[in-house]
Amino acid sequence: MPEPKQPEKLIDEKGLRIDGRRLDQLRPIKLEVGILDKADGSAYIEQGKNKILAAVYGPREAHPKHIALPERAVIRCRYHMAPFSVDERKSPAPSRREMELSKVIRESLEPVVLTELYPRTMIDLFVEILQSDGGSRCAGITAASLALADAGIPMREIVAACAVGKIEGKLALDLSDAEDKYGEADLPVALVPNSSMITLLQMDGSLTPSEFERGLGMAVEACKAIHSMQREALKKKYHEIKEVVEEKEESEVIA
Amino acid sequence: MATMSKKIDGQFVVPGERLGVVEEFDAGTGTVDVNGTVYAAQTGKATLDPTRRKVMVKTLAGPPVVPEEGSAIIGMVEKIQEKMAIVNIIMIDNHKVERPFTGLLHISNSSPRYERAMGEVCKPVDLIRAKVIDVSARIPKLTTSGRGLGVIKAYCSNCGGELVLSGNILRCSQCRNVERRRLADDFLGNTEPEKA
Repeated sequence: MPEPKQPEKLIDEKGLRIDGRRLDQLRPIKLEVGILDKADGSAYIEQGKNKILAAVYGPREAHPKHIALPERAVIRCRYHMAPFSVDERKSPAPSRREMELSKVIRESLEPVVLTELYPRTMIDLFVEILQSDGGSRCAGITAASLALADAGIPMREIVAACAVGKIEGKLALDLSDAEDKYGEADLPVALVPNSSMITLLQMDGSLTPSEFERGLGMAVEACKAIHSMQREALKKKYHEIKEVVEEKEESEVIA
Repeated sequence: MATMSKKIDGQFVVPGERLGVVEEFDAGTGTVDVNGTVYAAQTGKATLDPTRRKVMVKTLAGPPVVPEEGSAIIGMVEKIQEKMAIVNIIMIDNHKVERPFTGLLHISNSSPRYERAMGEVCKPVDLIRAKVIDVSARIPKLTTSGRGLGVIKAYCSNCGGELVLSGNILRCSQCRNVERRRLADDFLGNTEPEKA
């Protein structure tokens, strides 16, 4: 497969981006909760061309034993890109970048999980990138917090994440892969919406202080929009299970 | 009841949704109290308990199951030493746990009377019913000295055959080997199988 060429323009005359979005527009997002049987909790997100699975196990007994903490549960996170998730085959071995993203995803979710309720245990979090299209750490956080909620792990809140960036001198929301590569800056943000807490803030490239402030505002608004989608996804799953449970109860009453 | 509480009773909530303040009701299961404000901590239906002035979130699956003090567990004996046994906890309060927790049964907590060696209480692969007495240590501590606790299914240490009770004697159904265990009242295989 030939290397995709750098687009001549990231923004056209009408002010639209290469995928036809406005500057302040998110990519279409599809969220699903509880799609894996074997994991305690799981979620799936499609954001643009991103396809990401998140799975949660736990709280379970900590292995190896020495990582267990006497006052809280430990969270382990593994962000991993499938070999087929990018144009060129990616080695499945953990890269420097994947280790860093595992760490930042873990740290963006740790403050909301009530880990003190489950001392000496371990919560395992897997974020598997099936197809990557820029902004996968943010989409990964969005999916991972849904998976935690699906596992029934008590949390203070659900975390939503979104990136904002600069392309051709203009701030743009939710960068795609090409915009991330050929743009000037990328600013991923994870937000805990109700308590207005930011648990992830990174920056690649450069922004002026006023751009940064405006960009952060855009990202926060986008995170709030994503948060309401997360709520809808959980609600949909809840009602699906509820119907199954009620049907089962009914059939038991008849029997 | 206050209008606020009426509004949230029976509502679908996700973690982080505000349920009220502690002056209205206490934070029950599935909720969290952050500086006096009660939020949902799990996904489910907000439920008010007006008599106890408590708000809870009722989930469909229930909270995650971990061994806690007082939990009734069923475990499989992993290995025994002279004075203690390592037990794989496979059921906690009637919930099957997919990935077993480890528990520790010390000989001093194994039986109401004096036991000389762990080999006379249980042996590897036996199923035991026990209670968790302490979770502050690195491994949850178990006891089998209470009523209804002890070995509920046992296997011969010689040939692996099922052990059955005939009168007071615990005997292997295959090789007739006689063994000793701290048996629970409802020990499985309480009757001798009929001879072929």
